[in-house]
Amino acid sequence: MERMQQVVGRARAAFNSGRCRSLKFRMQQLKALERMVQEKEKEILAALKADLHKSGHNAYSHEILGVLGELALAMDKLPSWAAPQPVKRNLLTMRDEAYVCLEPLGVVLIIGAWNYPFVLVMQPLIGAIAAGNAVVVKPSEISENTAQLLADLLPQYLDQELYPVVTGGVPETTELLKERFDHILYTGNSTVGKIVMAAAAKHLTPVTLELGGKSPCYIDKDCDLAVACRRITWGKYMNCGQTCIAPDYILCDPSIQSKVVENIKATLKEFYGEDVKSSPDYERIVNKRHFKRILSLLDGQKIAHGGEADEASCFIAPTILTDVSPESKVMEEEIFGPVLPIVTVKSVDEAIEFINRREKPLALYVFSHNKKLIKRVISETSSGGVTGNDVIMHFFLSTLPFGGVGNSGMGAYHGEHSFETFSHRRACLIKDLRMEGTNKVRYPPGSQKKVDW
Amino acid sequence: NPYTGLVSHLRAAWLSGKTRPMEYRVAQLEALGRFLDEKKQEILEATALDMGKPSFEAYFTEILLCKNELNDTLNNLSHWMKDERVDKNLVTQLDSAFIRKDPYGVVLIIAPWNYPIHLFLVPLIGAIAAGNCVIIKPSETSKNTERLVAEVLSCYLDNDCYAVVTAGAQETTRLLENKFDYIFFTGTSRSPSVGRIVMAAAAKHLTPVTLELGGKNPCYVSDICDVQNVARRVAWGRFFNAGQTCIAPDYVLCSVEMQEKLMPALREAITEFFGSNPRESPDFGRIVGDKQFRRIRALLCSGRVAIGGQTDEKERYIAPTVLADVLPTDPAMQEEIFGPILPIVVVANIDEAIDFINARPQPLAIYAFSCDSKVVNQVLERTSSGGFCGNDTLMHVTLTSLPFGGIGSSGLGMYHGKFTFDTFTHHRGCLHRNMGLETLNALRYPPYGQQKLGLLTATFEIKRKGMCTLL
Repeated sequence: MERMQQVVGRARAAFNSGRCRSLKFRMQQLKALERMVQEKEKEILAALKADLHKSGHNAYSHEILGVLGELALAMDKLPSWAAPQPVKRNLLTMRDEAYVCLEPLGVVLIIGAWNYPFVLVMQPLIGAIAAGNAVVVKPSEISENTAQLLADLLPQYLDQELYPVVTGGVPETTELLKERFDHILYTGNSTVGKIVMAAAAKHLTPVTLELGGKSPCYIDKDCDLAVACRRITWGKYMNCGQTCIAPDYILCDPSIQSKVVENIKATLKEFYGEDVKSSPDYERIVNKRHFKRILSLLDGQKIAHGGEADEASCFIAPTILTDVSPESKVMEEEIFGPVLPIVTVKSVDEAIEFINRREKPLALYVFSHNKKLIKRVISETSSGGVTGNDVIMHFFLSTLPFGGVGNSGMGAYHGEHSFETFSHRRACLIKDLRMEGTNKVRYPPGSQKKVDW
Repeated sequence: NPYTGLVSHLRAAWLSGKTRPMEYRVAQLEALGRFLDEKKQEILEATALDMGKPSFEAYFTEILLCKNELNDTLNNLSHWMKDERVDKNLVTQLDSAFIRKDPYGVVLIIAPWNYPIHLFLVPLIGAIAAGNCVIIKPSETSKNTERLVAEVLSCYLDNDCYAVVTAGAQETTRLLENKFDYIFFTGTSRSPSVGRIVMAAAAKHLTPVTLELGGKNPCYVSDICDVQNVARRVAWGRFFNAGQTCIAPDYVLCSVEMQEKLMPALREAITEFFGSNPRESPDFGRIVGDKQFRRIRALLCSGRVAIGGQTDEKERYIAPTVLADVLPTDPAMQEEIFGPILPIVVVANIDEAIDFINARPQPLAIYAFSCDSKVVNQVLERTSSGGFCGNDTLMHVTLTSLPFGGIGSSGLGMYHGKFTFDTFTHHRGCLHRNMGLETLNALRYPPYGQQKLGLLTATFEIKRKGMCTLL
């Protein structure tokens, strides 16, 4: 589609004009984004409600708060992030200037996801703008209200040529990916991640892939089960389980399995009341396709709690499965829904082995009073990130790089890491044109004397 | 697949955890140091056979620079390996927050022929230091060095965890079908297209990559400069390794007056370096192979030969050559030269030079010469490249504190010094929370209300400086 070529071409011409390089310009754009989030808060919350039945509180705390935080951080730190970084010199370069320049990459592409449709576009966008790039934004078509809102709002607040929004589904994204970008940040699943990287390879475009996987959650016998289960319940069922770093499944000793179930049940009542369906704080599955997919995972499983569903409203009750077999369907793919399987293991060794036999997850969780055990689990496994004795929370600390490893992704962002992801670190060495004497050592004719020196 | 067995073997060693302890990594790195010391003569001989590499050059790039990297790594390894504490926000004040440096697993290093030891060894240092198992694929074009490495490296490194694979293009394709946890590829002149093939293969397994490729590195010479010094520095960079250097100054941009002044200066520098007959100088190399020789020779019909131009096919000798009045449409300006030919393209002024550079793919390096630092800065600020060196050539890559890598078609990723360690490391964000103090979490749990939201906002939000804040 010529349209894609035009949009990207315009962004590139705008980038080449040089106007998004100055810190002043970047600050202006970031400030405008901040105004947008503050002025259009109602519209943003409404779109999130329409797409995912997100309550005002959840939408605000998960999607808007974080964005305002990143904006404030970026505006505050931009001068120091963008400043040239002097480096240590050696004997030969002692009298020279040596530093690393952080430069924009050019035109970057951000492909958002549908589960946190606002923040997953905005957070990378903030970093890309702060780093001085032009940005093509492609929100997920599945969260169509938020996609349309972004398409309407961003041009109202930002430079229209530099930061275009492209809407559409698979065909449009495929066309878009034929264009050359200087970096692509994609949030989504591993299957499409491979397609994005393959498209990027044609242009030697670096990529950041924020993918997913099954994030394991190991509960040690030696822990405060009430606290652990409350935290797990919060992280698992927020956004109806549609969170890339939700605890996907639990690993625990069979002797505590029923206590875990009891505690989660009690917490669910505390959070959502007797009738979950009528709680304003419980979301819905994004569409029928995912609804059916998640429901099919319940086939043949022992449902210890929940299981109720209503297709018309895409409602699936918070569900717990016990004594789940590692070979069952629910243990194959990322659940991305309010279904929590418990797989029993007899020891932390078995848990570690279980985790390591599978693809590296985006997040890993371990609950224990025993600090040494937690350290051991971290050291003997691999994952994008870790939270010990809680879930999700490492996402909210922007000084920690957020990203995957192996099948769960590559690259990272958040805070300054976003700025670095969207920058080129250009090595600069400026020498004196005089002082030729010291150079004689390296010029031919070579001799043993020179080598020894 | 002929390599699946080998990859599984290394993967088993990886899973055993052998490469994780610092003592193990240090021992392997020290063994690499002994390889460089004990096999110095063999390395000089192999590279001399492969491309007539002068022993001074070979010592400098294949031994000295490698030892620098090794020592830098050994001196700093324990510090680099440590968990990196990060600043916390209000909510995480009482927690432990750090970045854990995890190895990736089994990594692949593919090296080219032009600096055949250096370009596998320096990445290898970082890969070992970061705790990975490594498969090394040296270039089949530098046959003698390839044989040396294949035969000898296994005597120094743990064979369970590090293996050398000798392979041509077809076999390398099969090697790339296996899953690796990181692929580090350095290519030469034809590199952009091979780089694409490597990245496409990596995409099938979601394997992260570093691609060190190439391009045409422009060298702008302003009218205000010490011509003799410029000539020496440019000639040194261009004719080092007979021009077969990814960061060599590929072509010069200057005014017609400067071209006039540069010519005798370049002639003098070449004579100073290689004598009146460079063919007899032990300090001037040869082209690595017949195919490459013929390719470079064909570039001679560009502009006019002002210096050099002699060739000898049997010896694969191409004299240090300077071409004057080269046009952008000439053969020498269509591809990375990777040989001892320096075309001069005349431009009217610095703006034309910068436009010329920006109209072309981003190179691995840009050079600018001027006594006026403002001129050097202008070129730096108005262009984009992997790296930049003002008033000299090549030297920016000898400083281990500077990252070395490309941008756009000249590559992605970077290394040298700590950057190599970081390249082969997964930076894992870790938050270790307190099991107690659960009341502090109350704000985040449903059921929600307006009051809760207000309090939550206060604790989570990063406020602009100068505003009232609980942080």
